[in-house]
Amino acid sequence: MTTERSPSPALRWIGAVLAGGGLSGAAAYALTQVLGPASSGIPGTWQTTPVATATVVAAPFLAALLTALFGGGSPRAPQVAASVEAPAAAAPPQPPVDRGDAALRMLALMQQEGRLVDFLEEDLAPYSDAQIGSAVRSIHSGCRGVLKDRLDLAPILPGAEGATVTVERGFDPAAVRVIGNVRGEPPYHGVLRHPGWRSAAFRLPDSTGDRDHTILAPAEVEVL
Amino acid sequence: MARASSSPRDSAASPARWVVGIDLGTTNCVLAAADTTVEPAAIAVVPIPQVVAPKQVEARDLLPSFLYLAGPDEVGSLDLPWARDRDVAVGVLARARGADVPGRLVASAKSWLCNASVDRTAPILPWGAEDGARRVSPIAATAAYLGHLREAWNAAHAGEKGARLEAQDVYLTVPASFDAAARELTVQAAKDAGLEHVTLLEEPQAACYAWIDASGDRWRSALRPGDVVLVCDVGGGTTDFSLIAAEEESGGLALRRVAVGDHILLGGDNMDLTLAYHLRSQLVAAGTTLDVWQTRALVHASRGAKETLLAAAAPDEAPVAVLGRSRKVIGGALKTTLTRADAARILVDGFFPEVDADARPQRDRRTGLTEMGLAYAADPRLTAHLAEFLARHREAGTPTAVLFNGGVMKAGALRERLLTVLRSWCGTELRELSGIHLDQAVARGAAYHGLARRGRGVRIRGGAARAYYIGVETAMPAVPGMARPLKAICLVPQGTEEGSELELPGQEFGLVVGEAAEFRMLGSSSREEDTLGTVLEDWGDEVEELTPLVTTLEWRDHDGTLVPVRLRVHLTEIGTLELWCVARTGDQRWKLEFGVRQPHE
Repeated sequence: MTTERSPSPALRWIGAVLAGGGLSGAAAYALTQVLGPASSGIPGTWQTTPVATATVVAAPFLAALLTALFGGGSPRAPQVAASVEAPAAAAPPQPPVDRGDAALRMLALMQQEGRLVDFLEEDLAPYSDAQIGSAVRSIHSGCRGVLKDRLDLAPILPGAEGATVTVERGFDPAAVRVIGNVRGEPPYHGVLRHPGWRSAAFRLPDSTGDRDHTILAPAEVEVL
Repeated sequence: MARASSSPRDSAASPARWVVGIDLGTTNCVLAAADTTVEPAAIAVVPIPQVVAPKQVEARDLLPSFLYLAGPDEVGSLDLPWARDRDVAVGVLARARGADVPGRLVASAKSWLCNASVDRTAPILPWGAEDGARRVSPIAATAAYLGHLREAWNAAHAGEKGARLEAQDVYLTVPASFDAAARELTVQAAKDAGLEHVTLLEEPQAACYAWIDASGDRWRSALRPGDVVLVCDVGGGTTDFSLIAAEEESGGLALRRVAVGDHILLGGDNMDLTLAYHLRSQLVAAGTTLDVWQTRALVHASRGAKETLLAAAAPDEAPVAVLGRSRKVIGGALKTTLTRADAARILVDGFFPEVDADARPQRDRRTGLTEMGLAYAADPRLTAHLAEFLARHREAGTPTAVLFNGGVMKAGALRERLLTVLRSWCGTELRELSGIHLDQAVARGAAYHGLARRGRGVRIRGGAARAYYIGVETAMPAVPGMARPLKAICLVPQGTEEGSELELPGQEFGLVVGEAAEFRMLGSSSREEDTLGTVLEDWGDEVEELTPLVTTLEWRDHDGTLVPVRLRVHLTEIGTLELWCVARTGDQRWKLEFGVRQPHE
């Protein structure tokens, strides 16, 4: 079993898909709304700003995938500095990761267990919401099982959404995004809008032989 | 001499470092091990690398007991870290791939291993595969699972001196209901897999050991002298009952297995199938037709719905969807709903109905659960089987506690129902012993038993699970068309301790040297009172005929002579039964073998 501890292409891909697909404002990040000095700690008085909208990757699925597969940026472990017991885990030595394979294999698993590629490639226009809904339950449970088996998901910042947090100086902007009324130097006091997601571990089956990872689902031929 | 070959290990050798428990299940195998050089020796389940998809290997806690006999083009995609160019696969891929190609899948090998109506050494599996297809014997399939475990262990411990699995203390579990022939065949399969020395242990006992291990020191206060624990083990394919009594012994608490049930071929797979048939009829009634592939997907989906609806605080209904087979996942999807009321009616009332203590399973009726070849239980009512088991063993005591084991028992509603029924029979004080991991308990318990044998834990004493009898035709004038009545002479009383040697007194048989001799063998799991030499002439359904024993007397220069022999039986330390014919005159003795190659009937 392969265990990869830090942002491999597949993880970046997942983050990108979630963000780019618009499923969440900033799924891959902890999202902290910084409050104005006068209203510190009192939710309800903060101001929304356009900055709060995630714009990591605007195009949906395929663009996100391409970005993850071929986009630049060297992987590095996100560091968090927040006074709310932010676990500043020491980054372990990273094994070399084949850039494309892990993402494709993750996608193949999502297809195998949850038919994700079939689902995303299907035209939804002819179907009613009820039809889609019942199929999505099955797709959801399959894909969720893959996430559970393959990743150890944990929030980047502890605490419930709506809790008051402090972002200390030297925080990693990739891990914590401060939004809203951001002024001056950290520390920033704010309200946790999204605790973020981090995968503490990433496991894939070992490959044997010359497996072609571009195969996401085999063709099926029934012999009658 | 049989003695030397059957002893678990040369006592002069230093003890093995690892104690290993293997649950050789009908649907999953699990391996647990404890390193005895560590104090305290902790038992851990060892993940087993296996092919999970073509050209992909991953270690999993469960090794599904399925063997896939691959086609020529698949060779090369089933490689393991320790073996290349394999033409078979065991485990996750075998189960998944085999579902697509049933003609190449060997499943339920264990149930075939105890099926006396077939030649268990002949290549008969996959059962019903077409002519010319690759086939293996039930023993070979079992050996394939054990061989996989051995190779996986040895690959993980490569380079460590004395760490190979065959050099460890290996405890292999079998159903308590396995008869002497099935136990012998299991040991043979282990030998074929390169495990020369294994010791057998009954699964319900292993589950009980797992509970003791999980309870730590608290188990002694959880049980009192006089308690009788019913172990109710409902696995994927089989159901097994045992009674274990807590007794006072020199001031402490001792455990003794006092009764075991018969082999009931009924388990969780039957339940999933029944539920799927129900859902299919719902879909058919709504005008949808399902092909074989969709039906199989429906069985899988039913299992998920079952787990949702039988858990605590379950919703009123669970949606069941089978996604479209082609790329049209939504367009081709089938959707139906399983209500909790239906799940309860079909599973709880169907398999665990509230019956009286005098209920008995029906034996003549054949239901939709029958599959060609394997003797599935005719009556799906597990509570009726349980009532019969408890009635037969009334003198062993009324259960005061119950320990559930097996994946089916994860469902809270089924546990609740069984508790309700048991309390209505045995009194409301009956309590549940909990805390074991239902998928792993048997393997963990087997490893615990190994530690107990080294003095690091409590041992359950048991002895022979069944009484064994030799069948002798009564001397009376032959009547055409009628078999001579059979007398059964008790050879091994129930509860005979392992390691015992017994000789049948007073009874001699005349055997001719050079000719094959066959002894009819009978067994009973309910006649606890019979002692060595007890003669039975009428036994109803309490005694059943087993695989016969055969031998050919070889004695140089004595061909044709009639030799008076006595029967001597040795209940080995590893849990098997050996029978010997001993010549009255002197040193000659011949071992009797189970005639598994010549199925009777």
